[in-house]
Amino acid sequence: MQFNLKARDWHNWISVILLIPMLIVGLSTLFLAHKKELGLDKLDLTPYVGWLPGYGAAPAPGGHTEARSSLALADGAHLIGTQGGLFRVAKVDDQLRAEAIRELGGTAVRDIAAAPFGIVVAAKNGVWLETRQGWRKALDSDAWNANAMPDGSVVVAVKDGGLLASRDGEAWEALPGIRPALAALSSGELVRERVTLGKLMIDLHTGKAFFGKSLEWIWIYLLGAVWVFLGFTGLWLWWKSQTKRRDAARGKLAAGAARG
Amino acid sequence: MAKTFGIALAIIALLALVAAVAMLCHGFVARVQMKRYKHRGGAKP
Repeated sequence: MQFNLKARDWHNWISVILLIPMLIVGLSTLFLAHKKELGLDKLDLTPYVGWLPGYGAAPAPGGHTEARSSLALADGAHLIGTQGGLFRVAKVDDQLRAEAIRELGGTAVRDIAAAPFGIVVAAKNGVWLETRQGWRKALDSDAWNANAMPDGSVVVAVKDGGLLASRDGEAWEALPGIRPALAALSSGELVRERVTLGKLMIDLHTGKAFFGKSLEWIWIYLLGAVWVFLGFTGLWLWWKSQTKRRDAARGKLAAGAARG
Repeated sequence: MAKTFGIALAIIALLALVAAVAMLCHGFVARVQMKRYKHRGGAKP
C-alpha cells in the first residue's frame, strides 16, 4: 500500500471524513440563532433521543441532584429543589429518604416559597403550585425566584415578564412601578458589563461583540449557512468525481471486452 | 405557528442530513466499483 498524500488529498479526505459532523454543526447553528422564536425549548424530545450515546438510558447521578433551593415544611420534611427536579426529603424509620415529585421531574427548580394558598415553586419550565389537589403549573414562564410576602402574596421573577405577584396562585399581575423605576436609572448608576478575556472569546465566537445580543443571529446565520453550503457543495463535487471515475472505468472495461 | 415552522425546518434539516449520508455512501460504493473495474481491466487499482 502506498501513501503519497498531497495537500489536496489531505483536504479531500479530511473533508469527506468530517462532512457529517460539519453538516450537523452547521445545520444546528441555524436553529440556535432563532431558538427562542422557533420555540425549540418547548418541544420535548426526551423519549426519542435516548439512543444518542451522550444521553444514555439512565440519568447521571450527582450533577442533577445538586441542591439549588429548599423549604422546610411544617411536618418536618424538606422540599429540595435541584437542577434535575424537586424532591421531598422526610424521615422514614429514622432514616432520611428522598422522594421525587413526578410533575417537576427533569426541570431545574430554582426557588421554593410557602404561601397561605399553597407552595409556590419557581422552575425553569414555569411557576408551579401545590395545593390539596396536587401539583399544577400556575404560569408557563421561565421563573428565577419565588418570594413569600408579609401580606400573604407571592412574588415571582420570570424571564421577560419581570416581577409578578399573586394572592391566590391563579391571577398573576406585574408589580406596579418596578419596571419604570429600573428603566429610569441614569447611566451613571449602571455599572458597565464586565468583559473578561473568556467573555470576549465567547462574544467573538457568537458575534455578540460585533452585532450586539439582538443581532448576533446575523453572524450565526452567516457562519452556519457558509458551513452548510461548503459541506453540501464539497459533497456534491466529491460524489460527482467518484461516479464519473467509476463510469469511465466501466466504459473502458466494456470497450476492452468488446474489442475481444 | 413558530413551533410548527421549527418542526418543519427540523424535518428538512434531517432529510438533508440523510441525503448527505446517502450521497456519501453512494460515493464510496462508486469508488470501490471504480477500483474493481480498473482491476478487471488490467489497470493498477
